[in-house]
Amino acid sequence: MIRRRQKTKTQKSPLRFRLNLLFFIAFLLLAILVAQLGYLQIVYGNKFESQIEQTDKTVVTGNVPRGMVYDAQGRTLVGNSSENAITYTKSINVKSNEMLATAEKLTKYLTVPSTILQQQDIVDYFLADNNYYKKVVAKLPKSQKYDSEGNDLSASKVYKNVSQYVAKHRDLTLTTEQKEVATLYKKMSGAFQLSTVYLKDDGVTEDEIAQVGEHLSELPGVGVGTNWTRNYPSGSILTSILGTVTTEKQGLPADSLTSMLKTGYSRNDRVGNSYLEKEYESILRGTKSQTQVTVNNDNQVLSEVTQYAGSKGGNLNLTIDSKYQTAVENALKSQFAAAKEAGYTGYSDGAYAIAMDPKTGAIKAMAGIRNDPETNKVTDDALGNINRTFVMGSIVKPATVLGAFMDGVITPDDNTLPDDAIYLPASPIKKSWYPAGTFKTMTAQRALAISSNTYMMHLAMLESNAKYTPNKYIKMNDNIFEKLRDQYQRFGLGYKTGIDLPGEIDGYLGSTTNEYNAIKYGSALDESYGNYDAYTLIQVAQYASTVANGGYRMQPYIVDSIQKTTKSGEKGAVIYQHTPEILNRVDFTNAQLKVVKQGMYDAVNGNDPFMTASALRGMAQKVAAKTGTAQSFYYDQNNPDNTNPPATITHSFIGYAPANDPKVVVAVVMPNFTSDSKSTYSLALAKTMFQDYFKMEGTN
Amino acid sequence: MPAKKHSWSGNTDRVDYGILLSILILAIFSIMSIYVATVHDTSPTSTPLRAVVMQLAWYAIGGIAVIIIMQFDVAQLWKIAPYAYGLGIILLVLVLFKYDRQRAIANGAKSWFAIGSFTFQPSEVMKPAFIIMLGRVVTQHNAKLEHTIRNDFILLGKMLIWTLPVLVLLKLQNDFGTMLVFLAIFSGVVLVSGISWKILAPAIIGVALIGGLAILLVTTSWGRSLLGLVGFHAYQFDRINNWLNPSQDTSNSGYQLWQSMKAIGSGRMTGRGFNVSKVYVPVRESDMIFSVIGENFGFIGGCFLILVYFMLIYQMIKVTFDTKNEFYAYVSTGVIMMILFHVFENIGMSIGLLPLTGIPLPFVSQGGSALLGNMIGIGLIMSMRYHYNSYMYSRVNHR
Repeated sequence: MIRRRQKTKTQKSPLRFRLNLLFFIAFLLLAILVAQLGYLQIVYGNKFESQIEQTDKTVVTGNVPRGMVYDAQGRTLVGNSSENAITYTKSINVKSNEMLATAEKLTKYLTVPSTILQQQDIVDYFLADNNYYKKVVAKLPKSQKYDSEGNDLSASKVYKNVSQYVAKHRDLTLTTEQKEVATLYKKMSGAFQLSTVYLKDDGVTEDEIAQVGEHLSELPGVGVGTNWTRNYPSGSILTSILGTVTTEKQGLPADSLTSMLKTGYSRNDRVGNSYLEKEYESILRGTKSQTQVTVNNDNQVLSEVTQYAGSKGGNLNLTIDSKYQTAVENALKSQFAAAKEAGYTGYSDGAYAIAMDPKTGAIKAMAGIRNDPETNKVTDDALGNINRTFVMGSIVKPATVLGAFMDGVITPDDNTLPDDAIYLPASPIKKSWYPAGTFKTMTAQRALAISSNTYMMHLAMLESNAKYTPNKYIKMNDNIFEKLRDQYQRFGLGYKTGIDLPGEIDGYLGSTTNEYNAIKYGSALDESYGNYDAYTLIQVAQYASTVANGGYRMQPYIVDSIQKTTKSGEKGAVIYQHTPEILNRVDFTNAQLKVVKQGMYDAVNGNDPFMTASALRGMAQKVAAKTGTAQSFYYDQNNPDNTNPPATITHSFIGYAPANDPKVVVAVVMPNFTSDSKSTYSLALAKTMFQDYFKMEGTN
Repeated sequence: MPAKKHSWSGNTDRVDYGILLSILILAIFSIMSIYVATVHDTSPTSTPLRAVVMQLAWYAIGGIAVIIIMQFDVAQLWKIAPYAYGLGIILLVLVLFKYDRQRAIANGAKSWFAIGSFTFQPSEVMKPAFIIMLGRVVTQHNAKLEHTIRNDFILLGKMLIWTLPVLVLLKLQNDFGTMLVFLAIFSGVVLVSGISWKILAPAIIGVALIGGLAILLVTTSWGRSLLGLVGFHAYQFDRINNWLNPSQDTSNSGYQLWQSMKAIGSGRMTGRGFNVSKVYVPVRESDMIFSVIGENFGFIGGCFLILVYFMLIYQMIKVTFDTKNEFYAYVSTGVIMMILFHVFENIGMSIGLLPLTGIPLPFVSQGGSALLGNMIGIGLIMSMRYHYNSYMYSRVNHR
C-alpha cells in the first residue's frame, strides 16, 4: 500500500545528515589520495628521483675515410671521393611511429632517390603507423593473437600475422610521396641502435643540406655528414689485385662477422672484402671517431661529447709503377689478341706475366687475363698469377742442372752426357724438340741454350742410379721424385712464395705412384724437364729471381711502405717499410751458376741455329732466358670422357736483364694454346716487358 | 526572510564567487599543465600554442554555458530535465552509428563524434542531463510517497529505469570508465534520496562483499584458476597485474602507469619546477595530466590541487544547505559525485591506487566535451544561488 507523504520538519534532517555523510565520503576519498600521494612523493620520492637521474653512457663510433693506395711513383691508384650525405643515428628504443614521423618530415626537405621496395618494406611502412597497426590487430582472428591457453603470442609472431593480413587485404601501391617516406623509413628502421646509416649519400644538393640543417631540431637522429666512395684515378689497372670494399648495405662479411664485431666494427661498416683491401684492412680502415653519448632513464640523449675525432686510415705505397703496369697489361692483351686472331687460343686459359726485381723481390708489374675456352670471353685476372697453376715446361731446366751440380752428379768441368732419346716400354719416345740423333753428346750449357729434354732425363737417371735398357727396362731409386722436387722447392717452385696478397696457393704436385703403387719412373723423367708438376707464375718468377741474383730466394712483395695520414689528410710518417727478405739461400757455387747463366745467355744471344729465345736478341740490355713448352690435353668439362682430347701447348718464359747484373726478371706463361702454335707471342710479350722496363728506368 | 551570508568569500551577491575562484584556480592549473605536456611531447597535429588556445576556447564556451544555465530557475530546470535526458539518449544512440573510427581504433571506445578535427563526446554532456532527470525523479517520488521499505524499493526501481538505458548504451560504446561515473552519480543520489538504511546497509555490505571477493579472485592464483574455469583468459588480468606491480611489466599499458608513478614520485615535496619534464608519460595532456602537476609542483602542488577540489565540493554542499531545496539537493549530489568520482579515479590511477581507466581530471585535462559537461554541472550549482532570492520568496511556485 502506498502512503502519501506528509511534509514535516523531521523529514528534512535525514537529507541533511546524508548530505553531510556525502561530504564526509568526499573528504575521506580525497584524504586517501593525499595519503597515497605522500607515500609516493615523500616516502619513495628520492627512490624515483634517483631512478630517473640514472644515466647510461654509450660510446658511438663514427666512420673515417679509408686509407689510399699509391703506386711506386706516388700516383693514386685507389682514392676516396667524399660526398655530402644525410645521416641517421638510431637512438635507443626509438618507436616506429617516431621514425615514421621523422621520415615524413624529412621528405619535405629532401628528394629521396627511388629504390626498389619489397612487399614487406611497404607493409612495414604502413604498420609504422601505430593506429593502423592496432586497427589491423583488432581485425585479426583470436587464434593469431593468443595461443590456446589465452596468453599473448610473442610480439614478433603477431607482427608476422599482421604483415600477412596487410599484404593480403590492402592495396600496396604507393604514391610518389609515400614511396619516398617508405624508402627513408626502411633505412631508418633497418639501422642498428646507436649506429649511423646514410639516408641519402648521392647527389645531395647544397640546398638540401641547408634545409635539413635548419630543421635538425625537429628531426631526431638525423644529421648532415659526408660519405666517401672508392675511386680509381689510374683507371682499371690491377683491379683484381686491389680488391674491393663492401657497401654499407653488405656490411661485414658473414664469415668473419663475429670476430670483426669483437674488434670494434659495426655491422654496417664498409670493409675490404678482397685482396689488398682485405689483406691491409687493419691499416686502411683507420681509427673511428668516438663520441660518448649520455642518455637518461627515458633514453633521451642528454649530451654528446667527442672523445676522439678519429683518424683516416693509413696509405699503402705499392712497388708497382702504374705506367709500367699499364704497358704490361696492354702488351699482354695485344699479344693474346694476336694469338686469338691467329686461331691459337681456342682451348687457352689466358695469359699471365710478372716483372720482378730479383734483388729485392719487389713486384714491378703483375698482369693477367683469363680466357674462358667455352665462351672465349677475356677477363682481368692479375690474381691468376698467384692462384692458378700450370705445367710450365722447360723453364725448370736451369733448376734441374743446378740441382745436379749441387748433388755432384755433374761438375762445371765435367758435364758432357749422351743425348740419346729415351725409349720406355709401352710409352711414346721421350726426346727433345729437335730430331732425335741431332746431337751425339750434350753439355749442360748447351742443353740449356737449345733446351734439351734428353740431357735433363739423363741427369735424373744419374741422380737416381737408374738401370736402363732401351725399350726393355728402367729402374730408379724410389726417392727420385723427392730428390727433384726438393731441388725445385729450394728455388721456390711448388710452394707458396709468401707474397703479401691473400689467396696464394701452392703448386700442384702430381702423384708419384701408379695404380699398382709403383713409382712412375716415366713421370719422374718428365718432371726433370718440367712436364709433370704445375706451378703458379709467381713461383716461377721467384725461381727465376733466385737464379738471377745468385741463389737468394726472395719473398715477393707488392706493398713497399705504409704511411700514416696527417690530420690535414696528407701522407704522414712512414710506419712500415718493407725490407727485402731472403727466404733461403740455394748454395750452388759461382762456377756452377756461371755454366747455367751462360746457357741462358746463349739461348738468347748464341749463334747456334737451335737457340730457343733468339727473338730477344739485339736489345740494348742483354737478356738471358729460358723458354718452355709443355704438352697437355684440353680437358673439356662438357665431355670429360673424351678418349682423344685435343693436344695443347703451354708456352712459358723466364728471363732476366741485364744478363751480367740482373735488374729485372720477367716471367710469362700462355697456357694451353693449340698444338700448332709457336712461342712467338710469349717471347714478344717478354721482349716488350724488358724494353718498357728499361724505358721506364731510363737505361735503354 | 532576508538572504544570509552564503559563500566562502563572504559575498552576499547572487553569484557564487567561491565556486568561480575554485574554477579559476583549476583553469590556471589546466593551462599550465597542458602547456608543459605539449611542449615536451612532439605531436604532429598540435603545438603548445594551439593546445593552450583550444583549452581557453573551451573554457570560454564552458563559461557561456554556465551563464546560460544560470538563467534557468528551478522550475525551468525541472521542466527541461526530461527533454535534456531524451536529447542525451538520442545522442548516445547516434554515436553508436556515427562514432569516430580513428579514436575507436586507438582506444576501443565508440564514444566520440568527429567532424573534421573537431571531436565531441556526447556522454560528457549526458552527465548533467542525467543528474537533473534523476533529481526530478527522486523529488517527484518523495513528494508523493513516504519512505517505507516498499516505497523505497519502488523509488530504487524508478531510478534504475532511468539509469539502465544510459548504462546499456555506454556498455555498447565500450566506455567502461564513463559507465562507472554514471554508477557513482546513481549511488550518490540513492544515498541522499532518503532510502532506508534497512535497504542501503545490506546493499552496501553486499557490494563490499562482492567487491572484496572479486579482488581476492583476481589477485590470488587460486582465484584466477577458478575464474579460468568459468572462461576468463589470462590476458584479461593484465591490467590488474600492472596495477599490483607497476614496475614489473613496463612494456604496454604498464609502461604508462609506471612512467606516471615515476614522474609524480620524482616530484617529491616541492616538485621539479614549472615546465620541467624528465619522464615521458603517454597521453599526459589528457588522462595523465596529474603526472605533470605531480612532477612540476610536487606534493605541495598536488595537495593544493586536491584541496581546491575539496573546497569546490564544500561550496557545492554549502549551496545545497543554503538553498534548502530538495530537487537542488539531488542535483548538487549528482554534480558532486560526478566531480568527486572523476577526481578520485583520475588521480588515484595516476598514483597507482586504482587500475587505469580513461577518465579525465575535471577542469584540468585537455578535452572540450568533458570540460563542457563539468561546466554545465557548475552552471547548475550556480543557478541555485543565483535564483535563491527569488526562489525564497516564491517557493510555492514550484510543486
